[in-house]
Amino acid sequence: MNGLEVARAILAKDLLLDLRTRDRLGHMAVFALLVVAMLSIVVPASRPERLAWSPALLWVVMLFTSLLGLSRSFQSETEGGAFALLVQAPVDRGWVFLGKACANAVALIGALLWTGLLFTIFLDVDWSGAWLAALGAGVLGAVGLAALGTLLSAMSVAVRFREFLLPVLLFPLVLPVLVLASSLTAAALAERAAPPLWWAVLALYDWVFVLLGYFVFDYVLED
Amino acid sequence: MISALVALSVALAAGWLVWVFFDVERRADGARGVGATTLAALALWLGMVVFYAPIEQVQGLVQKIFYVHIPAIIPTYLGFTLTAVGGVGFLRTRRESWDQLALGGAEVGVVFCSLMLIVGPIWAKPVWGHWWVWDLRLTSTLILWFIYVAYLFLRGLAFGSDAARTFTSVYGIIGTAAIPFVYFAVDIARGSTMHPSNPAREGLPTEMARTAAAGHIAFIGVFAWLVARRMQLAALEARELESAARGDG
Amino acid sequence: MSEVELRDVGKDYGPIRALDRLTLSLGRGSLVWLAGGNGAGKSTLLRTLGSLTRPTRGSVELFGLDPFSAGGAAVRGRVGFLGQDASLYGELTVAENLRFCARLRGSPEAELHRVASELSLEPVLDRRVRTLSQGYRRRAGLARALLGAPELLLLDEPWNGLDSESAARLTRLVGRLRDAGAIVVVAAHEASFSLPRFDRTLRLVSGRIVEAGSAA
Repeated sequence: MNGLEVARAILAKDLLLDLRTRDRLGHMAVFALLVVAMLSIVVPASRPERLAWSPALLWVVMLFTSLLGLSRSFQSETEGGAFALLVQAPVDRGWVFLGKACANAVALIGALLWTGLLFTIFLDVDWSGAWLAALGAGVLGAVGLAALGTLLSAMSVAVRFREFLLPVLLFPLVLPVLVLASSLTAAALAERAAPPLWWAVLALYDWVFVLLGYFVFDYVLED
Repeated sequence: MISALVALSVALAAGWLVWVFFDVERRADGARGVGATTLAALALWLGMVVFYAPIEQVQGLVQKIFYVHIPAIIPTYLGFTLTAVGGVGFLRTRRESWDQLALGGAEVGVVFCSLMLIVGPIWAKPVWGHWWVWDLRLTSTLILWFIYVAYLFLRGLAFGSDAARTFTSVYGIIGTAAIPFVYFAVDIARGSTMHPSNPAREGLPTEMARTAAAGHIAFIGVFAWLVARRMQLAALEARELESAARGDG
Repeated sequence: MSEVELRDVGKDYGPIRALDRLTLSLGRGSLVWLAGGNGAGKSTLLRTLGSLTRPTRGSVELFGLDPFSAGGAAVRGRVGFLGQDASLYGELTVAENLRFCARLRGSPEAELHRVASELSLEPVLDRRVRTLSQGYRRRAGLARALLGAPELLLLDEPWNGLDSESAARLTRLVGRLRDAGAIVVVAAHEASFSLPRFDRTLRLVSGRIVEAGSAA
């Protein structure tokens, strides 16, 4: 039985559901819009200050928007009792993790692009000189958030007070993403080259947690 | 010589816990002896802090908080290690003792971590003028504290079933994997550190070094004793649950 | 050695002992009735056989392999499971659900049409599951469980919510599967009408087997 095929099936199914129902993506988009709009009212008006704060603010917005999306990673499964399908798949359950994490990563990259656009509109951020590096940092950050978020979301499917527990579990562990991605984005906006070490560490982080997720997911699907 | 003593006490504590591990319910009763020794060590330490250690010239009497803050470091990290190791052990063998070890490490470790975080600012305010500074060591300790707390919440909210123990074991593993990255991230975010650099490297005056060592040894003793007792409690609770489930209750 | 072997299986949920020292063997071509009142452990036993619930104690062997181990993953593909939920995605159509499940189990596309016609689902293939009646939903769930012609079929209260015609069809279907060599384990209340003639009865009380008879 082909694990890759299972992962692809899950990815395709989740993307189909996301696009068809639009509530997960829609809610994330509206939430990000709301928060960025409010920030733009509250943040000091001077351009240099906005520019200085934007990378950090962008990643804080990303963090909360991602949380909204990640908490619903398994919602379609729990509603119809379809969680059993994932548990019973006749392959190494790490492939189930990979499929789900990819679907989440796609959603988060979408959220990232949307948030970047919002920052241009509301906070006057000009990405033109920086877009490649910022996008790179963004994709790496999104993958890291997706990996840990998928893993922890699966664990919190059957617990009480999930809206409280998921951020409490997630935030300390994704602090490195927050710091590295915003530092890399800041360097990109300032048109400076960030130390290659930062890129390497963020990439390493992604690699470690995707691998770890693959290996421990079996335990996470337990009852 | 002094670091050797401290290392020896860590080794002794670890060795004793390993021994307790293999038959928690009965062997943890030996904690009474360890408890008595630790009490003596605590008395010695307290005596040294008050009478033996000199009053530091620059910082004054307040500096003596150092003797509480520093010894709390080893138990904080030991606790985390036990939680991670216990988690791996439980996942691989499903033997209860591993999970009890992990729980003990987490509950006791969080206490020492909290101690560090409370005592640190009490020392910092008179000495540096700020309650809190976002430097590498303090921030990393704070994040560690959040991870501990998250672990304990997960345990509490997952209904205490098999799944709860499996999930917390997994969380212990991924938490440990995240720590080096957290350190790196906080380092680049904050750059400089306001924290006093490690005095052991600079060379403490003998009296201070000895007092600190006494603190290390006493706190490690307290740590080991608490962990063993907590493991014993968990083992007894499991036995209660077992009889209730069997219907003998 | 039988195809399905449970040895001393126990399952605890905290203070609740759902299964207690269960030992049983099931061989090919048998239709087994799992009887018992509410809370007796029927669903937990089915979930354990279906690798959804890992036992606290004891061992499970399906076709010679441990379905909970890494090496035994493939054996999960030989098991079909229909729980109290139909295990379908409400926003996908019946066809999309079946296609997804076929992909998960490595079954070819043709399987989809086979099970759909077996359960007369053609009229609703392109309707979203959310819009279906309870009866059709259960049939779609059963179709899903039958994908890949499982050698062990686990059904939890399958006659619930079925009208008499569908119930009779299900009874015939279950008999046919047994005749083809599958092991079919069904949890059902006595009150379900149109029960088939079972080869064996396992009666559970408080997680223990109290009666393991063979119906004549």
